[in-house]
Amino acid sequence: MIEIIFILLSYITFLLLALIPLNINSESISYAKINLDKIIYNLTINLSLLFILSLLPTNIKYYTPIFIITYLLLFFYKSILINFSFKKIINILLFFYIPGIVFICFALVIANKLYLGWDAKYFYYIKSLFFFNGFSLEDLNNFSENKWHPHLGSFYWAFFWNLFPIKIEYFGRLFYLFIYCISIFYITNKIFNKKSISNILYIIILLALFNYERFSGLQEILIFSLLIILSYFFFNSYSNNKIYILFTILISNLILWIKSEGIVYFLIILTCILIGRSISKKFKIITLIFFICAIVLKYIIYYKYNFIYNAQPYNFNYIFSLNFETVINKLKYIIPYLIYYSLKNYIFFLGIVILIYLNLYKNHEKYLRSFNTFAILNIFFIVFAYLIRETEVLYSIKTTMDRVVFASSGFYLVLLLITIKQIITKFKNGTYIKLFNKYYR
Amino acid sequence: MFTTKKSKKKIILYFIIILLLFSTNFFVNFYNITKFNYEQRLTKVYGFCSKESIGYLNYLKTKYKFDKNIKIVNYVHSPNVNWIIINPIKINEYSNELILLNYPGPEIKIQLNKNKLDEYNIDNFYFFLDKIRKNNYLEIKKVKTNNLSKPILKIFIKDSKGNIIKKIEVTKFKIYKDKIIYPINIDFEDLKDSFKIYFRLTHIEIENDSEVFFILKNKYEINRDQILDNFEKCYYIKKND
Repeated sequence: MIEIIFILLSYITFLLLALIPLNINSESISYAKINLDKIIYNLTINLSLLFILSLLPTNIKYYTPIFIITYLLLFFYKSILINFSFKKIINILLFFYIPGIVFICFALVIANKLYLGWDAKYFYYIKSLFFFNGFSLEDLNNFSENKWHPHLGSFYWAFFWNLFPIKIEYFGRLFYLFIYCISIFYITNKIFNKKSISNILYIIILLALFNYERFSGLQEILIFSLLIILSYFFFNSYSNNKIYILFTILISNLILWIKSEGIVYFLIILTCILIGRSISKKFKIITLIFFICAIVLKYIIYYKYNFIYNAQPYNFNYIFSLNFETVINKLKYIIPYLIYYSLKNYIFFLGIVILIYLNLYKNHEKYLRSFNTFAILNIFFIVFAYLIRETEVLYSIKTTMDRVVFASSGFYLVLLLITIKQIITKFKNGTYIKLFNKYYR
Repeated sequence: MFTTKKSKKKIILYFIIILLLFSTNFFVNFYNITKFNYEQRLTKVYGFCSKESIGYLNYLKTKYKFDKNIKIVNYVHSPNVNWIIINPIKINEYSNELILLNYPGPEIKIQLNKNKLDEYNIDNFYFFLDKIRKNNYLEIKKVKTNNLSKPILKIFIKDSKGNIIKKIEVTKFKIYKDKIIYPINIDFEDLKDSFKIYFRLTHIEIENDSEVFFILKNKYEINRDQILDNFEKCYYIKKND
């Protein structure tokens, strides 16, 4: 029973990261909805703060209690000492009760199934064990498998594993679930004005997408969730672009540190910003500088700790040695499997179909250029990743392509949701009935 | 009208929440988590002394509080099991102890299946490479041993693309009542991980009920070492130098 209580407590604790430091106006539930952006900003700020902590040569056990006590005090100060009202607290709880129910249902699945994915057993869990045992980033050098992926996802795992007195590893993985639940909650609530519809759709989407494997310690779920948030920023960038760009930079930096292919998403996002229509030249230059700084920072840290920057099976000698026949042979596997995995992952597939439709019939939409850029570069990335990889192509595809497609599919969810919204609106306006009457009566 | 529409949406929402509870097995999960503790659930998932044997490893970890890391040999092909007992404090230090999981005894017996080319092969032979010694043999059971004229065993070692990298003919054999044994003295250590091994038998009448086994000499013989802990086929031993 104690585990169940801590699962409930974990949701409240994670929620704290979404409510602090920026103030959430919770005079009414609809106000809370207006503050959805702030919830994401808070989460991004806190994830970035944890990222900075992860770089410090300090034992996780020293700052975890300080971190949580500070946040609790801040929350009580803001919600109780200043303008205390029960209504505010209840409004927050009411606003988050649906993601709470979903979180608890899925958290119980994770707590019961427990098994870790292949990569998690080899890399991510062991790396989080380093942090959990009080080691810092530098100590990861002692672990030979450290070279394959960056540390941030494992750090989050260790941080939240260590946060609760119960000290069970899956509490760290529940944080991944929280980010997943909140990112989809954010996007559905932002797109659908009516809470009832957004809640219904929210649960349906989560139910349709949930797969335990994604939460077995693998890092793709983090990239998937962060891309969902970014996709909304791009979709809506014309209205709030300065703040969105700032948080796009912060989120992109997190992606850079989660998986080795994060660098590719990082560069794709940068390209989307630079190509986007709604952003001024001045902002594009500032963004470019920030992105360069983020890459330089990663190089400096890797250099300082003597980490291998590129341990993945890619090298120029192999790329230059590729001949036409090898390329064709590899493409014979890559393209059919890409189609297969895209069809299996219906967000990816439908996202691309919707994007093609939008380009054909609604090409005036401002956000389209960013989405087109992302989709084209994304597909190119997947194809080239396997083409220039110095390993047996079929084995690589079968073991990883499903996850690569899944991670990037988060970016297309917004397209699916706006299409659903348009269909609902047309139904309400009777457009389809009028069309039906016109052609069939 | 407005209330009806609103209540309809609420009914749909509650229905979907109920659907969520059932599709995620909420009640079963709730029961399991309250009834079984974390270690018990872990054992249920990974087996105690079967499959990945995480239950046994977790039990050893709690009982012996390992100072250094211990080499684990699992005779069942499974993902890495080190994660459960790994000690990051001394990640590269190993004691002279050893944990054997699903230990099959002094010999590892692998039944071979015939493919379309009338060859017998093992898919993941590389898995056994660090667990075997030389002097292995092929055993053909339930075979007609009378009127045999030069039964030859041909061994093909192929790379991942199917190219033959080594070809060996074994002409020495021993005949028993209804079985034939071919000694195989190949040093597999020189070969790459991705190779496959194929056996072709000529001049032998293999019946439908005949059984072909590749019998490998186990590198680890527990009777030579000190057994510190044992549960069924799982052993925690200290190597005698």
